[in-house]
Amino acid sequence: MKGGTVLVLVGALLLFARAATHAQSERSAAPRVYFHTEANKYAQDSEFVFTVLLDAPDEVNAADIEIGYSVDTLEFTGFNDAHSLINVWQKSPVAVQPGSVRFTGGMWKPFQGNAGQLMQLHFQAVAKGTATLTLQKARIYRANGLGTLIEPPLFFVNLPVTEGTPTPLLSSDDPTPPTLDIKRVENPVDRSQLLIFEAHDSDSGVREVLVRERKWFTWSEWIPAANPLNLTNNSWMLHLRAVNGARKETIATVYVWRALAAKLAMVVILLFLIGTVVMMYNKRGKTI
Amino acid sequence: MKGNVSIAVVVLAVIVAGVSGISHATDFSSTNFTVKDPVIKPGAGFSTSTAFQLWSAVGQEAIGTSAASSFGLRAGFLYFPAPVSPPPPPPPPPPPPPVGGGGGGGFILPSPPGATSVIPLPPIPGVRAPAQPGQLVCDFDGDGKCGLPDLSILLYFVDKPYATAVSYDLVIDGRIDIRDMSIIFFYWSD
Repeated sequence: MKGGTVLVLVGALLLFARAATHAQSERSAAPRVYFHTEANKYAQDSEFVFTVLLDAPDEVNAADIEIGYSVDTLEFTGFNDAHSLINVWQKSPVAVQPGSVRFTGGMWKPFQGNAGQLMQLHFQAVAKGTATLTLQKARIYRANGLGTLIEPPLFFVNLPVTEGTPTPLLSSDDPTPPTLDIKRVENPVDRSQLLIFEAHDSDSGVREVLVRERKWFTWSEWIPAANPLNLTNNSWMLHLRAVNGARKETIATVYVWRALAAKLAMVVILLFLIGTVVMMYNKRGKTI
Repeated sequence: MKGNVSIAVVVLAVIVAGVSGISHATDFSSTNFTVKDPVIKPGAGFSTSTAFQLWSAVGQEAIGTSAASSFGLRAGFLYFPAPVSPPPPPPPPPPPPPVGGGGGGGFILPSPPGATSVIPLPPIPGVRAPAQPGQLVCDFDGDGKCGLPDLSILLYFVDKPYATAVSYDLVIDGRIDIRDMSIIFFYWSD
């Protein structure tokens, strides 16, 4: 009887160990997105950094994250991508709608490990109450060449916003402007010219990249730039402006030679026509 | 004494049975294949016939698909991929291979003269069919649009040998880089 009890215990122990091993294996395959803040509550009018982190047991190389926030207590004031795992952006993080911030991009080097930083978002606690931050969407792709989608569990956190002395607004002492790398690409489908840019700032991050164009002599307004820019024949000159978190900026000038040649040809033809008309007019005047 | 021996034998049997069940199978891969949960058993040896040769079969647990220009092989049964479309009528059957060892897979080469059998193969990294007319050049995963999954696939091939990644070189400049990503971004859709 005693031997039988031992037998049952040993068997149960082995089964438990096997089940635990299996469960551990299953758990380890799923990445996890989670948040980090320096404090668990903030005084009204404080600005704070909200870090989005990733645990990835297997290699991943692309992410699409959407963070929701309570607009009655929080205001989205900016972000810092200086230490983000994501370094291939189509667009910088944007407030897709009031109460929601989204960022999407890829990683040159696959990430595998714990506490990888996806993004630092900056919020200001604008009113007393409970600030809620929600992981609304999380799509992570395995770096396996197949585009395998993994969706980590969604969740939310609450941060009390209380009365008190607000922490100073975030400031950045970054004397170095961002770098801006630009490449021209020919679209293999329709042979149109594209322009792709990469802006980097390893200290305060890239806050925004803007573009303006010159069709004839005047510049258009600055507008947010999205990769890639389609170089049409309408604009012969572009300015790209990358601004970092410390408001330092780098401006690059791009000439669209095809458009410039077309415009020069138009000017030459126009001058020729004007000259011809003037000559004809003068000739006719002399004849008369 | 006899009872203790019996208990010890039974305990030993339980331990052996339990421990043998705790096995780890980590996927292993190359640039153009992945073997899921591989627990490979020793295979059979080298066999020949008048029309084929069999090189070292492997046990049933090793799953996957192999292909050459004139044959396809589906090995294993645990994750046996379902055919995408019915295979064409089989050629005249070759003589049965004189091998034993059960349902293990193996490479058969060369194929019998005139054999044209084609077995639909699942997509594997590194092998990509050319874009069909009307298909987006950057729609690598075949979902009808260019987006984050396609960017993920392209990024996977950034540091791979060019011979493997050539079909992802969208701008055809001999490398996989940000220029190719610009094409995905150009046709980007969520």
